[in-house]
Amino acid sequence: MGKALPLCIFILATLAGCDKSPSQNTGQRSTEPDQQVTFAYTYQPQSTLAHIATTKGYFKEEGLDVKPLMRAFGKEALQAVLEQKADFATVAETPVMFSGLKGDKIVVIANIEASTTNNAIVARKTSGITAPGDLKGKRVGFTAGTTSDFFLDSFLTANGLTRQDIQPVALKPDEMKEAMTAKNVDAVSTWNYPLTLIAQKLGNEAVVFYDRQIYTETFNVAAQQDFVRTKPETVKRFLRALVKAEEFVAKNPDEAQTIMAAATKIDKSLIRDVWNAFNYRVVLDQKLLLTLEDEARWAIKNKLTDKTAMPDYTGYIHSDSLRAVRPEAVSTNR
Amino acid sequence: VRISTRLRIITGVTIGALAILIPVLVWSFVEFKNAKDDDALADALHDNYFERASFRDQYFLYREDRLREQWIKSRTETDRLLTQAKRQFQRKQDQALLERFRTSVEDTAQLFDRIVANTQVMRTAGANKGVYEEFDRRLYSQLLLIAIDVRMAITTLQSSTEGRVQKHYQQLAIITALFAFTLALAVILIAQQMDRLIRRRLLPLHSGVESIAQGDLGHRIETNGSDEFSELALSINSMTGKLEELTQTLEQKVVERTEALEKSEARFRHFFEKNKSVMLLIEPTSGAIIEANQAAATYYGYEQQRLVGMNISNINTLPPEDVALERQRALHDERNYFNFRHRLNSGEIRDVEVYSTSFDASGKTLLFSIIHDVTKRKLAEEALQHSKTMMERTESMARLASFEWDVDANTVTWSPEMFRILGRDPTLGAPNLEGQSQFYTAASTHLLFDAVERAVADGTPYEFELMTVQPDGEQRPCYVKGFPERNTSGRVVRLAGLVQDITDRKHAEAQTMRQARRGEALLRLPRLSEEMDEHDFMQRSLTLAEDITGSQVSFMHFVNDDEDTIELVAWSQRTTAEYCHATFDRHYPVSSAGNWADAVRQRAPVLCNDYASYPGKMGLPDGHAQLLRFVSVPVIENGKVVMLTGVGNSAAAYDEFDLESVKLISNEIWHIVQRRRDQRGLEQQKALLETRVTQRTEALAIATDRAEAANRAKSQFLANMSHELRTPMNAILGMTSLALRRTTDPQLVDKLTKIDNASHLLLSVINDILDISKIEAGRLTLERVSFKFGSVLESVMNMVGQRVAEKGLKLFIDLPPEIARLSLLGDPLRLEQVLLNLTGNAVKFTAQGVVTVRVMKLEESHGDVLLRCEVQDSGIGITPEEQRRLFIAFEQADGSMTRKYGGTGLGLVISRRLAELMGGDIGLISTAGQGSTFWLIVRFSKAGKDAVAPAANSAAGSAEMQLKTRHAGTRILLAEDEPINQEVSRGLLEDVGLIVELAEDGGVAVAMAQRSHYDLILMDMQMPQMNGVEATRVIRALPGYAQTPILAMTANAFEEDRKLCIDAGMDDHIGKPVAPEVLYATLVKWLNRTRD
Repeated sequence: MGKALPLCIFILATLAGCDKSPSQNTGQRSTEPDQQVTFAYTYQPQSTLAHIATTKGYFKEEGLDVKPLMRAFGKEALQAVLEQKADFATVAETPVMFSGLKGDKIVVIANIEASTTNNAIVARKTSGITAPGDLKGKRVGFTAGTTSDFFLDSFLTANGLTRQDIQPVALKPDEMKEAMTAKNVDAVSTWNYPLTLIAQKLGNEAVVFYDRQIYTETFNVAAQQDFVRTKPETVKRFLRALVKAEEFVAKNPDEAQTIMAAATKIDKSLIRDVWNAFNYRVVLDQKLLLTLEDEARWAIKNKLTDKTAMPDYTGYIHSDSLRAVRPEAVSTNR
Repeated sequence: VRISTRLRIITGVTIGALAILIPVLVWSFVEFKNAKDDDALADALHDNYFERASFRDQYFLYREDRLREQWIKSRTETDRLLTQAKRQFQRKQDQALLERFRTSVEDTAQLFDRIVANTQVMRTAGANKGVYEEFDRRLYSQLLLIAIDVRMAITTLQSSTEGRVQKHYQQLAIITALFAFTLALAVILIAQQMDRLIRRRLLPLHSGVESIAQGDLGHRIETNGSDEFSELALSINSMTGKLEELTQTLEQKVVERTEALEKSEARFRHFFEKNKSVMLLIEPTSGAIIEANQAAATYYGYEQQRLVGMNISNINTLPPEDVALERQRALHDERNYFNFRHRLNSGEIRDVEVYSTSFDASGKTLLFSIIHDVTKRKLAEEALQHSKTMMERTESMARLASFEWDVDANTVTWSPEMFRILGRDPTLGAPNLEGQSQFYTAASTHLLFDAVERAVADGTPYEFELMTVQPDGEQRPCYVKGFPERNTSGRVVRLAGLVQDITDRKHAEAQTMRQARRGEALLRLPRLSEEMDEHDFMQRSLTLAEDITGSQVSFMHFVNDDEDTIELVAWSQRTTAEYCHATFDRHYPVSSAGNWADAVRQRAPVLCNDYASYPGKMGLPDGHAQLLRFVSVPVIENGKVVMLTGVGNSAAAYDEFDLESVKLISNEIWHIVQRRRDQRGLEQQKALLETRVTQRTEALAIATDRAEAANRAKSQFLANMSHELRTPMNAILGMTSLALRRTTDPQLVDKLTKIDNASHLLLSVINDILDISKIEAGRLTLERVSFKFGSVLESVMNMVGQRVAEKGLKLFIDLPPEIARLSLLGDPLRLEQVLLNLTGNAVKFTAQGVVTVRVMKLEESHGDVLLRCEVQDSGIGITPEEQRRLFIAFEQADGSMTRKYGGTGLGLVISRRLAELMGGDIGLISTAGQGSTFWLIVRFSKAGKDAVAPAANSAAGSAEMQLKTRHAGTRILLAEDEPINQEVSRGLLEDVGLIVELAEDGGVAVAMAQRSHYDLILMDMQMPQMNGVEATRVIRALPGYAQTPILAMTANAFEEDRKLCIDAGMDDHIGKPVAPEVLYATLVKWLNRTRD
């Protein structure tokens, strides 16, 4: 409008205000020494934003000297935070839920990934499995206390089965491929990259069962409650770096994949194959709370915990910092 | 500065401002409207989703199907809104939000679908219902998670659209205000200018112009300044000056013109008054006669003064309003020439021609009319027209036209009727002679041109019929007559003549002919029917129908009572000889009959002149004549279609007359045929009735007897038949046997052996026939005596052994010893018969190879045993079709079998029946050319250990020797009435040294027994005076005969006969024809017993 019609500019310019103001952070921070934090995260695709933020130097830009602490999967990363070996961890909601049941003093500061197709059951056709119902009586590997555990249960339920109908075999994620090739199990409930790797390894023998409607996996950043309370500024910087990573990933998916391939030593083609299964956004909403409670009910019902009452998970979600950094990313109620 | 310049500046600035503001305003409004629409759509999506969410949550709570259906409806609405939004939302970020909303909503929908599906499962789930309930909660909680996404997406979308509405609203308000402000400013400025400049300067102008208008042409307006008003004042002053000059010039001209007019009027008056033509001046509006000259007064017969003042309508015979209309036409010069009828004072009406034109007289427009009397001319014209019309009418009625040919000019003139007769367009005119060739057929053209040539050459008139060709190709006959006309020098210069269309006449002639022929044919029909048989009559009748209708084919069908099938009864001779070579079923259903049977289907005549385009054409069988057209007529009697007659392929199209003719003829044929049939039927009926009365009377008389005897007779007949056949057989076989015993001549032995064989064959045939008769009569019963299976089979093997050896076959017996030893209760003879039949057949139909007999035990219980016997051959085999017929009486596999292999073909039928009576069945497995396996399953009761094998004929040889050695001289009484049999029996008995005394009757036998003692009595059953049974009873009562063996030797060979004998006190039964071995064995048995 303004370009075409000078008269309007003349009139409207008097009505318009200028709200531009220079960034306050940059100037201040350059004089301060970088804060040191340890960040436990995983090689999984769910941790992409962590890898990007590290590689692209976004933490550095925010004045954080981040020391990576690599773990095989989120539960172990969370364990590092609980053991105070790390300040932040990337972890799915299931271990957080169990922590809540145990009363661990941790808190989620942001959700950095969500996916409905990251979890699946890979089965071997030669074990006589071609449909979900064939899992009955079969040996099924899963990783206890993780999304694998919860997804398996949800999947069985969706197909009219219970845990009693199968032979559950507790496996760590990195044991699954071996267990499948050695035919120690007939199927496994797992996530990427093991999921795709196992399927590729089995080739024609593999059958993969997805059910994107019964479960949404989330990956989150968790920290000790004390840490968050005492170092709010660090948390905000940390989150700001992750938000930058999110923007980078959205704009440069191919470069992001290259970074992931280099950082995780995983073939880029595999990373590209599973890329679209993940939604990398730094947010916090009511969904996390509902999911935590939902899974908690499951854990209580299936006696996976000795607790019988639902913990108050609102205490496990800290939204103030993210709201300060990026108000529109927070839609949860305090 | 000039006023216009000032105003132009103000207007220009305003327009410039508005030109900028209007597009902005419009753009702003459009943006605002779009934002508003988007916002409304976002709201609709929001409301729709939450309504849907409400259904979903209620469903989860109550599981009512109704809620699910509402949810589905709501979902359809969602889809509609989404489609609309996708089209409507322009902004990228809105589209992205919409996409987020859509995918999330779709996810919730899929989850809801799964909840619904799982609900169905839950309702019927049994033990694991808990799992489904858990899954139900799982799905719902997942759904709630996604619902959060949905809510966020729609809320964000709403706030986005709302923000836009706000923004654009503000923009719109500002721009509208600016617009209004600019306009107002412009209006104020213009108004101020107008007031200051125009109003003040206008006042002196106003008063000056008013003075001039009142006639003061000398008045001049004051001028000061140099603006538009000063210019205007100067212009008005100049105009006033010019006006003054013009007024003076005009007044001068008026004086001059008035003088000229007065002169002109005087001249006109003289011209008018003295003119010999009738002239009137008429007031055009009222029609009043203003002026009339002397000639007018004389013509109309009025005083001139009277005529002036009259109205023209008093003279013109047209209605006044029409006259007024014509006056207006003349006034406006639309028309100036009129033909009227004017009434004179004398009352006479005259035809007049009126020339009328407008005329300006002293400023008044009048009509100046000159009137000429044309009454005489008019009358002449009418007379001419009348005679012309009369002529044309006459020609038209007579279909008679005239022509004229001017030879020199080669021009042809036709009367109008000529065009009609030739069907030509009169506007094209008559063509010359050469051009007429197209109107006639080639032959006619030739004829015509020849005649014309002759007529022109030597003046010969001509007259003949020609055939015209109408533009549509139709040919119509016409009669032509030509008269040459000569000039004074004798040369033919003109050819006149007439042409008459004689189609109707020809048609009428033809129709009369057809009617006559039809009438004649109808009269001939009854006479024809007397001269020939029914078929010939119908064929002739069809020929008549063909003649009358000009057809080439014809046929006639009777329709059966069901009106569903028809029977072809006649074709005309010509049809079969020349046209139709198809082979026809004489009977077929209407449904498959051709189109001519439409008359039956529609119950109404069918007339088809173009079979090729006949609707519902069904086609014709091969060899059927090509059908061009046909007429097909049903004869309907008592509401039923009884007959169908059709003709076809006439040269000309069929018409109603043809249809009527076929109808009349076929009705007549039907009635004649019916009458004939009725008459013949009546005569036959009468004769039949008479015979029937006689027969019925006789039948009644014997009916009672017959009814009583029927049952008896059937049995008796069988028994008699058996007896009557066996008696001569006994003689033949017996005599042969005796002869064989007595001769050693090898040739004679050979011949006798052949007789013997043939006789045995005959006997077996007789036995088969009798057996089957018994089976058919339901009188076949089985014995129940004890026997050994092995003995029976041995006997059978003995009997076929010789044949097997003769044919060079191998015979294998597979009989387990325990079966051979089995003592059974049953009918060994019948078993033997069946086995013999199967084995005999196997041998008979096997040319080379092996015949195997296999016996096995299928079941054995305490009381009985089920045996299976198989007879396998390597013979000709039997096809499945033959197998089916094999066990049906009188249906031997093939008639040729009987001829080739002999036999009645009844053996298997009897065997099956016997097998069934023995509680089993019979069957076969066979492949033609690969041999057959016949199997027999029979059930027998097991006999006790003391079962005795019947006297087997195996001991025959020794029986004869025993009789010769041990019983020679024994006295035998032989009761036998038949002389040859007497001789046979006596011969056989005497051959072994027995003494025979003969009694030719039962009574004689009794008397002889009374007189002396006999060691054994052989008793025939049927004897003239006293039969064997009765004689036995009497003899048994005689002293010393209580134990004497009395043996029946009889042709009454049935089981019941045997029983009768035993019941009467006889000891045994020997059936005729008597086999010597059997006779001897039986005698030995009983004589030994007596002796012992």
